Amino acid sequence: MTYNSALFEVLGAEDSPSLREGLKRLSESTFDRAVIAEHWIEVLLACHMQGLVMDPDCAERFVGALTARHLGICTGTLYEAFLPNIANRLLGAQIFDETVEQAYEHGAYTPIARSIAFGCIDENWLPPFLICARDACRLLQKVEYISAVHAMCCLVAARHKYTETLYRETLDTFLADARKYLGWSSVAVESPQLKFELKIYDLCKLIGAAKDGSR
Amino acid sequence: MIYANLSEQQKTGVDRAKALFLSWIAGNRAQFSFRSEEHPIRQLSLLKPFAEFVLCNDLLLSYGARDSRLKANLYWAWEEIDQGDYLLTLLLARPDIFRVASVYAPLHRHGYRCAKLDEALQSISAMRSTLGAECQAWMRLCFLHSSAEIFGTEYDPSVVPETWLGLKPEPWCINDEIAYSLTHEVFYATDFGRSKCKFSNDILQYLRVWVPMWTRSYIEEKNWDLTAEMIMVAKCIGEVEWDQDVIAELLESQLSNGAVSGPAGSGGLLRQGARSTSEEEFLSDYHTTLVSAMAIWLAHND
Repeated sequence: MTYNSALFEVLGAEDSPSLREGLKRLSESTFDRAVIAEHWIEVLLACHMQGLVMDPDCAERFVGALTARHLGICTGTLYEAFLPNIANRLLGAQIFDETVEQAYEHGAYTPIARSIAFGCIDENWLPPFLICARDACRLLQKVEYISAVHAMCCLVAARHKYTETLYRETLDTFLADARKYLGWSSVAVESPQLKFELKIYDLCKLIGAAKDGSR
Repeated sequence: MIYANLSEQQKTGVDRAKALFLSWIAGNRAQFSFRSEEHPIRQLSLLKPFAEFVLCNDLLLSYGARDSRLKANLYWAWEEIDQGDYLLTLLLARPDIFRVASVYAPLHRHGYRCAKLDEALQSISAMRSTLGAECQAWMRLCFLHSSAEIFGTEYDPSVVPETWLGLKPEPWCINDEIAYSLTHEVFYATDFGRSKCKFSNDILQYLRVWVPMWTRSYIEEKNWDLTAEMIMVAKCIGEVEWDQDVIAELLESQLSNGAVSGPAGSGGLLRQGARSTSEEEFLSDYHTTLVSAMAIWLAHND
């Protein structure tokens, strides 16, 4: 098992204690620090999904794994718009600058998918749903499953934007088919990351459905 | 985008492409002849490019092309099949290849008639061997479409329910073979864009969502053959929202002699019997060139 898959196994854990323990284990190991640095957004997301606030020791170790590049956050992406406040809340400290601006980049589905999962989505960030659906389908065709799930997250969050019944039927069918397909594919390829991303998709779907129902 | 709304530069590009296509079609007419081949099996193989040549000339006229060479090409084709006698002889020997009705249907539309061939096709269409022939759904639809033209009956795709589009499958599972079946299902259901589509609204919506995505993939692969077919499909069903200028992409692929290169491996079996490099090249590119011409005219026939 690779450290990557170990991380995603921990992230996919159902109960908070195992996640807390997993985070501690990962942050204590010098080797795993690199994994945390690479996947820190996923770690934050997993914590957020479970309503977890890191204890100060864990937060300190976690932040210690991040470099100046991570703390500066990727300029010009959507991460800027939602990560700092969430991260600061999770870590219980003002680590990140919360004053940065957001920007939309076409085809950048990952940050949008993350922002939906964090519950920090701005309507204007959602890409046009037709482009999103077609991109998701193309990514599936190219066997780029992780990116496909991210595009699907955006599509399901934009569900309330496509009001025409026939579009709904076509796109809902696509999302249901794709979810089923990726579900058994994630088992077949034994990918903890894909399983984790599908959990995020399911979360985005719930958020999308709630938004849709409130209109 | 309709022709009238194009910029002057775009109009010039489209007009130039159309002129090149017409020259290529007329200039390569002799290469579509299958009668110069002695072996009957080879003749049968070459009937495919010939049938597509006939269809292309018929459609360009339907799409508003004003060029006397197109009508001359149809007359030449009628003579090439001995005013229908060649097809009659063929069907008497091989009633199982009833799909050759598609060679006759476009000529029939332009007034070329052979009473004996009509009678033979009528009889063959009622044979149990025809009704029970195990062939791909689109081939059966092709025969139904040709029969509708020849006998004046109404084309009804619902009698062949086991099609890909009928199930609206997972769109990422398409492959080239399925794509050709799908495009032809649409062509027959709309009489190649000449009549209102006979599909239900849910199938039309499915196509409107996914045709641009499939087209994008074919453009990326430089598969101009399926790109052109998808452009035709979009025009046949209407109301397709494109994410890119597909016509411009297709126009750029046209060579200075008017041809459009076929995808890798195209015309494979046909090329095996080619007698020269130029014939091999022709057999590789002819289909893509014809379908590109049809796509450009259909897209800009206003």
